[in-house]
Amino acid sequence: MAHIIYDKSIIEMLALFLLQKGELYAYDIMRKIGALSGNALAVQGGTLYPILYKLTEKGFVTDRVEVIGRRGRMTRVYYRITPEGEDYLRSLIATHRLVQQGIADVFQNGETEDRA
Amino acid sequence: MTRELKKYYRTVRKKLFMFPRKKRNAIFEELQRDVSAYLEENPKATIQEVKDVFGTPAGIAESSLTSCSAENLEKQVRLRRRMLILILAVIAAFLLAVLILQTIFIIDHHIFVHSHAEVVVSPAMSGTYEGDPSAIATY
Repeated sequence: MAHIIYDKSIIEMLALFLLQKGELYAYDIMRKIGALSGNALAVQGGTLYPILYKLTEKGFVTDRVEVIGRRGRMTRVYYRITPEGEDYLRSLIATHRLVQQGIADVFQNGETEDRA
Repeated sequence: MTRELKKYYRTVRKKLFMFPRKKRNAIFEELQRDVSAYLEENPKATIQEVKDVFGTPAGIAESSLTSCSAENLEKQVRLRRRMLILILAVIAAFLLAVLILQTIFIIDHHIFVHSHAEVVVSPAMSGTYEGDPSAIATY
């Protein structure tokens, strides 16, 4: 059972990371997060779309509408990371590592304190 | 499934109220497209599975709220409040118009029912009538 991620900054980070490797559409991002995490993580579409829109609004990603299907009635929105988005991704990763390290330190120091 | 899916879309659409119409439509269309793609890959998927992958309407609303800027949210709430005030004002104006018309009608009806013509016969008019008797009968 996959763990559904609701944390906005983590979803932003994962989405931007995947977009670094090429343009993707929302459902692709969802599938890739699932597949690359070995189905340990999942992002729901309803959570992802507003985040992608916010990233577009802030200029961290750009979107491109492509008409798909034979009849041309269906469209698909492809997202691509911008240089500003790459900077933002670096800052997100740095913050995330800092938080991870902080949490690890709290656990480690907390246990040491208990033993002492 | 189609009916359940329609209901799901309807509820999601309602829950995205805090977004401006353009953005709301774009998010909604994207959801529809991706659900279609998911159902093409998983034709036997149930509505519960769709909700698991794309989120429940309430979950979508919650996520949307966190992604919506406070300024935008405030703007939407203000807009909704203005709309509500406008609707209430129109209803109040309509009720007032009905009340006024009804009052006019009641007064008019009252005057019509209770008024009567008085025929005053002046002494100068008394005496023997020498004209056509049938005219008196008609009168």
